[in-house]
Amino acid sequence: MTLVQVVVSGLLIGGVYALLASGITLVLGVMKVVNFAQGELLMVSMYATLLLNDGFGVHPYVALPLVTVGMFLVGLVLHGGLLRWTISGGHSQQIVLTLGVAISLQSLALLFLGGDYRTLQMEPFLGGSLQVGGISIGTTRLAAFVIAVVATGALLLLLDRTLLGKAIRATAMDSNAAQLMGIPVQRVYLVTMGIGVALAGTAGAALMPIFSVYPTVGVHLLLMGFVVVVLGGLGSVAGAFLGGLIIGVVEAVSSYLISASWSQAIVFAFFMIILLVRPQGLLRGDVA
Amino acid sequence: MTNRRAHSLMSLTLAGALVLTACGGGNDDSGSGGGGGGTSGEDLTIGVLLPLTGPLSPLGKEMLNGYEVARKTINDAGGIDGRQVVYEVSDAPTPEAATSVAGTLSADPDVSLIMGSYSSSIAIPASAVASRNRKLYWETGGVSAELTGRGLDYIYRTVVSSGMPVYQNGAADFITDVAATALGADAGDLRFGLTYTDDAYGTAGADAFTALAKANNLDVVASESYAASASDLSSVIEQLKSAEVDVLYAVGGITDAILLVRQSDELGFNPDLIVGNGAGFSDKGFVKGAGDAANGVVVADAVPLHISDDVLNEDLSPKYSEFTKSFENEIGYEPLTHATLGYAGAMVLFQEVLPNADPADVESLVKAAKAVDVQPGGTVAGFGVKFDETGQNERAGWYFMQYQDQKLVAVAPDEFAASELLIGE
Repeated sequence: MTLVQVVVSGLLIGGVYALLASGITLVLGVMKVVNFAQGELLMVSMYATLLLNDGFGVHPYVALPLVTVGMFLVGLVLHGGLLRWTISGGHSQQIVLTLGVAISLQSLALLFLGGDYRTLQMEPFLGGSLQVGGISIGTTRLAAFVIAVVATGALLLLLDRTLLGKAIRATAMDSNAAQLMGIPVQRVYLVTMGIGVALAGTAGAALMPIFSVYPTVGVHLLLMGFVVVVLGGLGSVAGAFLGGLIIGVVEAVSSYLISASWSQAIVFAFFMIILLVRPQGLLRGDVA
Repeated sequence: MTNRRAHSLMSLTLAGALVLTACGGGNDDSGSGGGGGGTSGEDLTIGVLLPLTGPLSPLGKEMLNGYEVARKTINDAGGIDGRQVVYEVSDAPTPEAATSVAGTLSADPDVSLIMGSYSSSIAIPASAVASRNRKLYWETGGVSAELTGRGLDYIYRTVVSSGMPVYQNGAADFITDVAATALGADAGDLRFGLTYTDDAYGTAGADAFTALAKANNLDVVASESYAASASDLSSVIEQLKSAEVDVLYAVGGITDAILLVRQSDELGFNPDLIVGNGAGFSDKGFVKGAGDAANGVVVADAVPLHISDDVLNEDLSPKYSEFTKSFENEIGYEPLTHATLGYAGAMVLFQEVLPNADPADVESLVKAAKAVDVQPGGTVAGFGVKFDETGQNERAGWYFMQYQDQKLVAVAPDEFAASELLIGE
């Protein structure tokens, strides 16, 4: 019974990892850009949620669509103003650029918001926890999981069923051919970056009721995000979701069965084994 | 995506991730500030080494607040031998940064000594560098026994060491006597759980508790460590739950302290008593983050809060109430444990050491430090000060407080208690 509880908790935190990873994997699959600023964009979204709550009393789940849309715009600006110039410039330029954005955002947060840990003050959401057959489920964690499922589902539908999705997939497969077919590749990149950053916005708003925020909060989570992306298969949104759940469960179960201080070592050992056995990741990319 | 392309992307991702982790840890923006009085030859410059950014910063800043109030108090009273005290404040968020900042401060001839550093993980490397460079290191916050246990010549610590009998017996007396009585049970019949972070502070606290449990025949049914950056403690809490823990002893930092208390609530783990060891549990952000889940949590820390002037020595100046008043005026809220520790430690330095020494001569500072003899009740932190041969204050104390209506109130030892221990909050 206890093990079931641990697995459920692992699945819930895994949903959070998945949400973070899906933004990275989308941008990676379509634009071939590794966005190292995703963790910091998550941090910005968490602060935005916190400030909306502190300043205007907006409930974090009401703030979620606002932050998501806001971050979509941030993504457009980020691409239009900076990233588009490096698309043809190769990986080293893109890595330096996104790392630079990451470090700037960290420093700006430190400068203007301070290094303190800040926690969102809210009434327990739906009583704080639910009891299902002897298993307790934290409601804020459940909400984050549901949000991750909905966001991943919506993204897959968008990629699979819409003209925009088709254009995104075509661009991911071969950007030159896509351009020859009349697809406005630069605009596809722009929108893809917007969606990728919007996913960080969704993740940030969903995380704020669970975690404290501070300028370097993104670093640890981003590392997990990368592990999930590679595990799930580069460019695979469904793979990112699956990978997130697997990493969450491996982390929780190894904490329970062995020791919590070993969980990180075990997660990365597991990651190395996957790389050796199945280096392409679990699933083939939906967008690559 | 072709296979080769996928591989090169993957290796880039991994390499970048490594770079990023390295970047994330090192916010080494050591700078000066908080000095106020310029750098004329008349001023007395003290190097302040604290984590002011990053995960350790909330309590590092709190300690700096205590230092600032002490500096203002002493300067308003005319300074030390007519010289105004100025600080050279340096940020040391990580052990690596502490090493480099301590090196810079030690090499500065204007800096008389280094004062810091709240966290043992910062103090251990920083004091090693300072000692190697023959600079006095005045520690007011880190409690790890290792700090003064390495035979360094130039380290003096005003706060308690986790290796001291008072630290271990204080907790033992509290648990076997105060807590067991309040729980209406014999301590030997209670089931104890232990959780701690796997860093220097956490393991030091956990080792001390394990030794205590052994000496007092306490039944420790679960012992769990975790990384301070953990984002989910449900597996730890499940272990405690299935071990049917009555009393939980928790050592940790602020984010995991909040996470532990909140998730315990969510997962229905309700021990009769939670005893939190210092750091995270006494941070002002803890009550904010944990809310009502904080009530009833007992905090063991190196200083008692909300005490009356009567329990301290008559000749202590400024008195406890005067200190809290000037702190509220300067900083804007009541001083918590780390501010009080910082203030008390700095005042001992300003009133007992520096006036009796040549600040430019480290041997003269050592001589003055060795001669310090402050009786118990002679600081606002309650304890007296006398250093043993390792530089540890052998009169340092260890106190217990409980969150009651989201406010810390001293409950033990008896001479400082302002309220009884409440059970079932």
